Order: sequence, then structure tokens, then C-alpha cells
Amino acid sequence: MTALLKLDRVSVRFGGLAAVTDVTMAFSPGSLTGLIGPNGAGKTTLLNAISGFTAITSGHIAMNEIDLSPLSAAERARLGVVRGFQTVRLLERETVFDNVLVGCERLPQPGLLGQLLALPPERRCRARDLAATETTLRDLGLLPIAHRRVDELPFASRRLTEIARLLVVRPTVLLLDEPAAGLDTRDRRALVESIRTYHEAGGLTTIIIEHDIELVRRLCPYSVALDMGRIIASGSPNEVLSEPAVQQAYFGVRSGA
Amino acid sequence: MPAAALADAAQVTLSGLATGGLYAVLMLGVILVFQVSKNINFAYGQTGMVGVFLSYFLYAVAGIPVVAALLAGLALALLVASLTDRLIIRNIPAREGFDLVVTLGELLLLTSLAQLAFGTNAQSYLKLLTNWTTVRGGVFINANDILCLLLGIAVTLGGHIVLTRTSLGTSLRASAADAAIAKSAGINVLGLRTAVWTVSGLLAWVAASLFAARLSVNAFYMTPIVINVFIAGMIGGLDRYWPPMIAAFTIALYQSWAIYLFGEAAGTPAVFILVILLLSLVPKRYLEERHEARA
Amino acid sequence: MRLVPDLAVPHRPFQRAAGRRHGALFSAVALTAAWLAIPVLLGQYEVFIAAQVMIYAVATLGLDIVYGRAGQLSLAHASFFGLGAYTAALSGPLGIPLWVQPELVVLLAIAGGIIVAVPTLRLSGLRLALVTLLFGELFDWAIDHSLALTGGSQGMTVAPMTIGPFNSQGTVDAYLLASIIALGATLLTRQLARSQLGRRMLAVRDSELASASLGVPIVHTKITAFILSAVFAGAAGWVYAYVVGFVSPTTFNLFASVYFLVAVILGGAGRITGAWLGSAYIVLVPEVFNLVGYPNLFPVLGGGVLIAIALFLPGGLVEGAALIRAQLGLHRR
Repeated sequence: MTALLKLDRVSVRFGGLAAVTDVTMAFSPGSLTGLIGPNGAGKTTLLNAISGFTAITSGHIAMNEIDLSPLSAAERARLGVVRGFQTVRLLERETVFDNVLVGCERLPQPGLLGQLLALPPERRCRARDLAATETTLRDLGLLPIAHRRVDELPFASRRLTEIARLLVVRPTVLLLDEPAAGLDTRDRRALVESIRTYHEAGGLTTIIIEHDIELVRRLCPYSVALDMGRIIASGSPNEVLSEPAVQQAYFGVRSGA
Repeated sequence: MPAAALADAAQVTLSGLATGGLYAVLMLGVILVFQVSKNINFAYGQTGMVGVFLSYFLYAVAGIPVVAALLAGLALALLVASLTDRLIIRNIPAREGFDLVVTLGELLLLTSLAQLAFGTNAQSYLKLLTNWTTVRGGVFINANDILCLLLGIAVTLGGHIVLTRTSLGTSLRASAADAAIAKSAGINVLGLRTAVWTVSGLLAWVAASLFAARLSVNAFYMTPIVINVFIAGMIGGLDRYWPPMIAAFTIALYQSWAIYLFGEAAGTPAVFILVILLLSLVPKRYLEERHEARA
Repeated sequence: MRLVPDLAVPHRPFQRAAGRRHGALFSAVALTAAWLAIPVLLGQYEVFIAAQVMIYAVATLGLDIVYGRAGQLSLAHASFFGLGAYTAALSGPLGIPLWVQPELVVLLAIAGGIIVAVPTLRLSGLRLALVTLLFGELFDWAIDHSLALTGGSQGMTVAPMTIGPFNSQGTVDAYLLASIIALGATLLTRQLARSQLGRRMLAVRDSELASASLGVPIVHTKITAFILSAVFAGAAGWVYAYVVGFVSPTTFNLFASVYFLVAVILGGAGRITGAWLGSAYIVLVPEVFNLVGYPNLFPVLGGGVLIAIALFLPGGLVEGAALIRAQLGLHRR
């Protein structure tokens, strides 16, 4: 099977600090990968490198054989590489509906005059965007609160709104950074369900950073463990967690830090 | 006549450096405030201005002894500076740019209050040595110029010593780096913050008084001065020390040379051109402000 | 799925939009009635002031686009207003025909918007404010130093715009002219708020990081916001000069820019109604102070209002009204 997303000897350095070193990975279409590792292992940096928020120092990142390196984060997003953040970032004074509607940015939109003068293409695009937004809100169960302002909603709903915004236009590669952080057990379970439902519909390649090992075990068929910027293990979550190197990274004493 | 040209050059340089000295006095206040509270106070110059205007009113109109009038003016400046922090800055919502907006409001408020209380006519203030002049080698050396220059150098060096060599400086840098950690280390962060704002009021008052002696003043006189200081801060970077302080001297020198070479009218566009050139020439990384917290 | 908190509100979000439509119809009727009533019921002076409110509303909507929506603090806004006003003022002496002027104003505003926007693209916070402020200072400086043409700080009179019986300095004519651009600007802003472009701006304001992750072209969005704000301000300034008949730099200096900021923030950033309320404030309140004989109190109040709003009602009057309605329980019938 050919890989959709390929990382080839990717390294990221910040000054003298090697955040990610020589990471080579391949993600096949439709895969769902958990990225685990202790704090400071380079997980978020790797996500930043894939999504274009951090420049890589060396190596290659390609999607469908397209080199992503020269593309900005926004350009990568328009190619379908989208990500969530550890901290939820929403349009605070707008409704859930409008927050998800912004996600339609990745569909083709009419030009300035078309939008300002509400010309026919704009009307067609708007109808399309409204429909997509409503569908996504319904799928994720957000429709009842669609017209509530996000700044008055509990954290779980805000997190879900952010995920809806990523999913409103089907991504090619979905990158989630600790989506379950701050959610209680029931909300976590619901989150896992909705990600799985979207996945089973096909075509989505997902990489999830998660500290909750149980969640990774339940959700991800495949996982990769990072420590100090390097891959230390990969395989099914159970295999990875039983690796001595992973045990060492999580529980052991490290030297030289 | 090269001798005359040389004398002219020395004259321009001296007066530029004297202005630069006062810019440096102001700059220290801007840097300190930025370090403890990550804020910019657009009303900073007006803080000094109201103090100067009060002193002027007290001794010139109300006939109170000069020293008492000066002290009253100083007290007002200190009060305004610390209240700006206590009543306004600490209570504004943490939205980017709101500190600028709110202190622009204060700028407007203080300026118009000063106009209301003291009138809109330009006044001349205490001489503060501006009337002591001697000629050396064709250069008019004004005692006020020398005072401003020395004061600027003293404040720059003094600020450096306080920040790097004293425990006060250590506390300051600690709370600038991370207020929460500094607090847990037993530093009285809020007290320190109030103290710093009050000191910024002192510095603003000193500079405003000396500028008032050099110019005929109306309620607006500190605004262009403070804008130049902010520009120097923008060029040097407010999270550093030496670059903005040196920029304060440099920008004053640059402007006085521009005015000397191209006439009074060149002052504004000269600074503008400098800023635009720097913006387009300096590397991008240098300009980027604090990034949003870890993604 | 239970990620959504259990709510008493049943599943019918789109019916509320229908209720809103009735409200909109009612407002439209009320506004039209008020618009007709002003020239019929009020005296010449009041109608002239109403025209100014509408003109300032256009400029305030412009600042609301770049600051309220896109989040870029611009202290050069009064200069764009001045750019339009001086285009009108200088058209007489320079012999620029009337039909060329609107295009000229738009072109100059677009050029001005780009010139201010491009160096500020990488900046935010203090740096952005300072550089836009410098552009404003430069505009002031240019007026002050072109004495022969503009009269410098003394200002210059502007001959009225006349088309047949229409005379821009006639009361009803001025009112009509102002109404046309105010209506145009309001409708454009409303459409902007509905469009993806408007949402892009909000995204850029709230988080550039998140915007990039959505594929929002940040640079493009900021430049567009600056251009739109400049065009709004330029058009408003152009009409202002023809209606008022006199221009001088004090109308376009830093303090004027701060007043526009007061208007946007007082009304409520990112809200059309807010921009109108703010514009009414910056035009009407000085008039009231003039009438009672204390014209100097307006700047004091302006400064105070800016501080008070930022401290106590950061969402502005529109949000304040919404809060009051929510308190009274009127929003759920």
C-alpha cells in the first residue's frame, strides 16, 4: 500500500535544542495513529512540522508525493492537512454555527467583489457552506446549541466545536493535539466515538497526540512512541507500551536531561 | 570655512545628544513598565506633563514657592502613574491591544483636562539652566544640554546597574520572566509592579520638566516626544535593555541632524523614513512579538 | 452523543432565525420612518447634524472593519478620511471633474490602504499602532507643508458639489447624499459580515494560528481589511468635505483617529449598530457640549468613555444592551 503522508528523516532544531531528530514515518490512507511519549518528547513539534507551523531543519515531508516543505500552514490546510490545538481557539464572540462555518474556508470561495456584492456564485457557495455546516453539526450532535455563543459554553462543547470546524470540509490528514485533555470520562468516550464514526466513513488519515493511554488503546490500531525527539517504538498500542524503551521513557530515570 | 562647519556639527550633535539623554530617561520608564506588566502606556508623557503644568500653575499663577510647586507637581505625576496601573491597567480584559486603547483614552483625558485647567496657550516654564550658556570653539554650550546629556547617561548606567547588580533588579527580572514563579519565590510582585509604575511617573516628570524648560509648552508637547521614545523602543525591542537605550540616543541624534541638514520640516518624514527602512530591512524574526503560547 | 450539555431548548435552532427576520423587518420599517421624519420634522441645523452622523457612520464602519473585525489597530483612520476630504477640496483648484472624483477617491484609498497595510503586515500590538500613527502624522505633516495648495493648518473652504438643482451644501441635498453612502456602506458591511471574507477577518483577529490552520490567507485578509476601511473612510471624507464646505487638518489628526476608535469601541467592535451608535456619539455629543457652552468637555468625556468602556463594558453598547435584555429575560419569548 502506498503511503499518503511520508516523513523522511525529519529533524527540527530550535537553536541548540534538537526537538525532533531523524524521524521517518509513513501513514497510509485511512490510518489512525496515536502519537505517545512523555512531555517534551517532540510530539507537538512533529505535528507543527507536518502542519507547517514549524519549519523543519532537514528532511522531507510529502503528501501524495507533493513536497509540503515550501508550503505555508494555510496552504497545507487548503490541501487538506488540518490540525487542532491543545488550547481551543475559537471566534469567542460568535456562535457555534459561525465557528464551524469558518471551516468552509477550505472550499473554493468567490472573490472579493463576488462576496461583497452577493453575486450568484457567492449565493451558491453560501448555500453549500450552510448545508455542510448543518450536516457536520448534526453528525457531532451540536445542532441543539448551534446558535449559542461559544464563550458561554462548557469546555467539552467548545472542544467539539473546534473538531467540527476541522471536519466540516473533509480533511485529507487530520492532526489532533490532545483532543481529550480537560474532558471527563463520558465526554472522552463520546469524543472517541465521533472520531471513530468519521473514520469509518473512509478517506481520513488521522494522527492523534494523546496522553490518555487508554484512549489511544481504544481508538488507534497503530501507535508511535517518541522520546527526546526520536521514535523509540511503533506498532499496536499494546506492543508499544510493552517496549522496555517506552517503559523507561515514561517511568524510568533518564540521564543527561 | 571648515572650522565653522565643525562647530555647527558639534552644536547639532550636542543638542541631539541632550534630547537623546531625555529620551533615555523616558525610555527607562517604558522598559521597566513593559518588563513588569507587559504593557505600553500611551499616556506616559502626559503623566509628566500634568505634573509640570501643576507646578507651573502653582508657582506662576498661585504664587506658591517654586520648590513646593515642583514637589506638588512631582507628587501628581507619581500619583497618576501608579493609579494608571492600579485602577486601569490591572482591570482591563486581557484582549490584545486593549492596553493601547485604554491608555490612548487616558492620553486624551489628561491632555484635555490639562487644557481645561490651564488653558491652551503655550507657556514658558522654569529655565532649569537653559539660560546658562558659554561659547567654546564656536560652539554654544548650554548648561541645560549638558545636564540632560549627563542625566541620560547616568540614568542609562544606573538602570543597568540596578537591573543587573542588585537584588531589586533580580526580583524585577524574575517577575518580568514569569510572575507566577516570582511570586512563589516570595517576591512581592504586585508591590514591585506598583513601585515600578511609580518610578516611571518620576522619570516622566523629570523628562517633562527638562523638556518644558527647553520648549514653550502646551498640553500636547510631550506627545511627539513620547512617540519618538516608543519608536526607539520598537526599534531596540522593549524586552532588551541596551538596544532601546542606545536607540533613544540615536533617534534623537538622527532627528536633530535631519533637521539641521534639511530644515525643520524634515523632522517628521525623517523619522518616518527611518522606521519604514528598518521595517523592510531587518529580518522577520527580529520583529515578531511574543508568539502565541505553545500550540 | 452526549458531548453537548443537556439543554432545555428543544431541537429547533433555525426557527429562531425566522423570529429574527420579523425583527429585522420591523427595524427596517422603523428606520425608514425615522429617516423620513428627520428632514420633515426637524430644523435645518438638526438635519445637517443628522447628515454628519451618517457620514461619520460610514467612516466608523470602515474602522470597524479593520479594527473591530480584523483586529488591526489603525491610528491612521482619520487620515484616510482626510484623503477623501482633501480630494474633494483640491478638485476645485486642480480642476478635476466631478465624475472622475469618486473613482479617484476609491483608487487613492486603495493605494493608501495598501501603503499602510504592507509595512504593518508583520506587526501587531504597539508596533502596529505606532506605524499607523506615523502614517497619520505624515499625512498631517503633508497638509501642513503644502500651504499654498491646502492652506496648511488654517484649512480651506470647499465649493459645493452642484449637479443641476442639486447642491451638496443645501440641507436636504446634503441629507440625501449622506444617506446614499451611509446606506451603501451599511449594506456592504452587512454582506461582509455574512460572507466568508468577514469570518476570515474574525478568525485573523481572534487567532492567527488558528486562522492558518483553517487555510485562511492571513496577509490577503489583512490587506483587504485595510483597503476596505480606507475606501469607506475616503468616501466618507469626500462627502464630508462637500457637505461641510470646509476642511482643516484638525479634523484628520491623531485625536480624530482616536475619536473614531472611541466610536467603534463605545458602540461595540464588529457590530454595525455599534458603529452607528458610536458615530452618533462622536457627532452629537460635541454639539450638545457646544450648545450648553462647554465645547472643551468633549475630549475629557471622550477619554473617560474610552477608559470606562474598556474597563466595564468591553463589548460596547450593543453587547451591553444584549446583556440587559438577557437580564430581563426578553430574549426568550
